[in-house]
Amino acid sequence: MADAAHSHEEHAHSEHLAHHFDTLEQQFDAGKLGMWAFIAQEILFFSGLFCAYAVYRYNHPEIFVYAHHFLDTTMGAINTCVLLFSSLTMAWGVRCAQLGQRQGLILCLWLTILCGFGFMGIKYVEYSHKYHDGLGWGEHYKPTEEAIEHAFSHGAHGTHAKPPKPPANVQSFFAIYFCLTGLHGIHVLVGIGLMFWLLLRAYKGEFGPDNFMAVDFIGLYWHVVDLIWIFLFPLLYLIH
Amino acid sequence: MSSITDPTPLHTVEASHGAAAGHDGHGHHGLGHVSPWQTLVKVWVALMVLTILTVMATWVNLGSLNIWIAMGVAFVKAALVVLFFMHLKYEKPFLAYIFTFTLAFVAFFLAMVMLDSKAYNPDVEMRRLDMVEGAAPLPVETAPVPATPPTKTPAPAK
Repeated sequence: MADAAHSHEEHAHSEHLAHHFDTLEQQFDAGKLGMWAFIAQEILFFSGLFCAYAVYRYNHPEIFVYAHHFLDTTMGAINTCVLLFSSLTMAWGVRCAQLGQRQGLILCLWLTILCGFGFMGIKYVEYSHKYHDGLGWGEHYKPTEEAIEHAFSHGAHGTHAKPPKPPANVQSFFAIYFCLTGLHGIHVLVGIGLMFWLLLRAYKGEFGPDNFMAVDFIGLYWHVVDLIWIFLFPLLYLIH
Repeated sequence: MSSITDPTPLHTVEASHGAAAGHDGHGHHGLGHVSPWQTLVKVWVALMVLTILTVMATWVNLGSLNIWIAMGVAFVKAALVVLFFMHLKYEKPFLAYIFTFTLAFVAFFLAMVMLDSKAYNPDVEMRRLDMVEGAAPLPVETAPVPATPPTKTPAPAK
């Protein structure tokens, strides 16, 4: 027994090892397994909405082609870049935590939080435009004249073409748009909250080579949020 | 002692995985894989380039090919995020199995619903045309016949 236990001796006294685990490595693996199970659940959870998107787009492509003119591709692209950058800072933060670089971790967490707020800020601008333009779901879809004119003026290659005749049931695009981006936005907000919790612990100097599980796992969550957006951006903003 | 009584499947995975990521790791950072910052930056640059590419691809009209290009680029971006930012490349294979099975089930789910939607589409179209024409709305053919056979015939006779 002494032989078997010996290899783990160095970690046996770690204060970060919960009593129901034998080694830090086992504890880390168990947590990771749980986190990936949660990620699997998140993907399946979002797939319901992606499924709604697929069915509606397959059956009524004309609605999507028409309605996407109301979305601002530039804002969507900027938000994509913001999220991608936040993923970089998050991954770098995990690295800092693993190496016990307290200052680096704090900086990375702050940058990630800032990007999260930046993303939500741009989202807010987009949502408020939609609201003022009367671009809601269901019976809230009452687009104003200016909104329609604006949506179809810049895409028409110079010529000031008349806006096309709208297809039936454009509101279903906006129902899907708000559900997908709204659920994603809630995930971003939750991520920001978790990031503040990490920041608090980082200031106390809690993270290090033996104890970075929380940073790593919240990092995984943050990357999943990025992952979802990687698909939302082309599906909603880049319709041809 | 622990190696005998411990039932967790992860340990078997680890044992088969051998020295690559397992027991030898204790000397230097034993827990997890520390990504070099150069790798992280390279992945990020690749993600940015792909984002620009996918936006530029919409400027060209390639018909139905556009959506497949957009989805292809999205999958490459997602793979980069999963493999490097989420360091799945360096994890034990079991976690990759979980992730792959999830994607497989999502594909199965989407495929089944699309097939179903396609199969019902003619009925839906017919119903829609009925409603557009403003003639008899819904109940006539959908009403279950057995429950009210006697009252059903007199009803529309007005």
